[in-house]
Amino acid sequence: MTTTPETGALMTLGKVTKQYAATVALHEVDLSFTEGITGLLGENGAGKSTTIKILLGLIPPTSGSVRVLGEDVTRNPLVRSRLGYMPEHDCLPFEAPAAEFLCHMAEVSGLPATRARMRAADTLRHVGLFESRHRPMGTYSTGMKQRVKLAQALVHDPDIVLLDEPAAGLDPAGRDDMLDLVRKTYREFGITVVFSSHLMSDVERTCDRITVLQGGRVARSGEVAEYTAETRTLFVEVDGNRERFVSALKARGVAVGVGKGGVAVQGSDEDLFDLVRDALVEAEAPLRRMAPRRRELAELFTGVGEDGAEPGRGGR
Amino acid sequence: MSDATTAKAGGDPKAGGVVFDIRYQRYGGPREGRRRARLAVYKDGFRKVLGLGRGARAKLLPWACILLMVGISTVLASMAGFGQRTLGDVGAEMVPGTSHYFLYSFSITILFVFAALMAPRLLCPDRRNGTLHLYLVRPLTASDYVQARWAAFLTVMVSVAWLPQFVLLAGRVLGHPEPLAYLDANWTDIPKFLLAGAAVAAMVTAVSMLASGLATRRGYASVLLIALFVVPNAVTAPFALNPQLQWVSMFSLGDVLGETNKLIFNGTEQAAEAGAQVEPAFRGPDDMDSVPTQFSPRLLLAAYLGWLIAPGAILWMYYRRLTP
Repeated sequence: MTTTPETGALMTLGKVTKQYAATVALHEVDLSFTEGITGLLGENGAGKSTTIKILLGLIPPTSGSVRVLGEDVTRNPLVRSRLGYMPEHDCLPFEAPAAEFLCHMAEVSGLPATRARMRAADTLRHVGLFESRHRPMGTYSTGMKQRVKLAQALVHDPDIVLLDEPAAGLDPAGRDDMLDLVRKTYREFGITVVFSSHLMSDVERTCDRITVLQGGRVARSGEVAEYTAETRTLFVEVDGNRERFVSALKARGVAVGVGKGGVAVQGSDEDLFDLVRDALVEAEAPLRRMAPRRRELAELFTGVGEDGAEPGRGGR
Repeated sequence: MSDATTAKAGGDPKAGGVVFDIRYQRYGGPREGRRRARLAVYKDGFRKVLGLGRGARAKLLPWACILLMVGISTVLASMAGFGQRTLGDVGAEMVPGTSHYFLYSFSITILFVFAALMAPRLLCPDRRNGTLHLYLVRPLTASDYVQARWAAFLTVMVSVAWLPQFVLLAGRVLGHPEPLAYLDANWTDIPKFLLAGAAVAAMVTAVSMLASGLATRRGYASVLLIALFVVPNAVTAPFALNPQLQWVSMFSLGDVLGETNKLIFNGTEQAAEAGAQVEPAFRGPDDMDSVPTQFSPRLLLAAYLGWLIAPGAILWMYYRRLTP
């Protein structure tokens, strides 16, 4: 794989601006993508799809520089033989069987015909569609179509695959399967993934790194673990007598926040566990779960503080 | 990395099969870039037009048109052969409409219907389904894509135009008591029908691919093409009677195709008159079908090139803007 020597980045955007008439889709965006799974997170219109299209060389930036695997993708379309792309929208010819379509796409990516056939069959096996590979894609369910879309992005064995909302339109089980496949794409296949989504839970579950785009600017960028680190809050769930338990905690001077799922107790020192144990005994509240609370990516947008307690619900 | 699982049947270890899960394998083979990509799009286009690898419904229309043209040429070839065998050259002359020129003069309509129905298969679904985006993120430019599709359709059109002519030629040669003598006397028919077929195919391809490139639905493109063939023909027909206004006919696709066909087979009226003074003798069984074009060859050539180049250039520019 070709990387930028100084940073080890596979793809870089340097002060990229993209303007459509009066609308600025991206404003002086500096970004680099390294090996692993990177989530591009943002609301609709934040600039995720524009970023992906610029990286693929489908649209030129208004200003700034773009390097993909060490090359300028708009000047050298051959770089695209090392890239895979799974669009958000429908893109499959409904009358063609998946095996034939994938074989064709592998050939269009530059693979010789015999190798393309082998890769098509292998890739369909990896995404779990081997048995249905000769059926026309018009007869597939939404989940199967998403898998074919992923398969066509992988069939030529790219170094990097860009996935635009890969779990869009799937039911919870289908979403889990798709996110598993995305994880597998890097962890087992060794293909670097850039994955756009507006759902934080998807990014949190799948990605190593995250870039948050807001209004065409990079709002935040870093390791997912940094954003989901343990907080100084203990999360306690009880099976009954919750009000008595909260009163018992407050009586002991503990700052408490009450949410839908359980009780957030502020603090992380050893004494706090003893206070919680005593309060549980006093309130006769059966304990279901007690664990340090992790920050959620949603807080990047909602601005909930580190304490995790909902504002105005008590304090130490 | 590989995992092996041994499955034993009936407790006999020798009967056990070994299943290897070879996991994901990185591809280390050749990557042939744009050349392979263009070839793949070309091959796929060829197969799509003829419905190859698809069900009977996809094959019905293209093969019905092809069989119709081959059927007609077979009938013409049989008629010519029968006349020749039974009554000699006089008999062949008595069977009009068995010439290569005549076969084109009406098969142009079938060819155009074929193009109107089949060309939209190449470009419309890719744009409508969004598959075009998948092509453009591969080592292929929009120009490569549209050129490959164009070339694929041209190949089919040329083949479909030539096939009935070869059938007719075979019938006429084999129907003649002395096949080699017939070929010796009429060999010029072969380059003429090859040229005329290529000319008709190229122009019909250019126009039909433009309509298909602009419409998102196959039906719209087909209706537009049929209208383009029929309406200008009807509008310009009255002008053809006035020699001063004959140029108006050059806006009619049917007239340009028909007159180009006449020019290739029969030349111009002036040349025909000059030829009649020099060589009044029998020139072969095509005489009864020989109608030279009334148009100036320059005007006809300009009109032909206009109909060929303008749609091709518009289509190319339209697709070129899809990639930087």
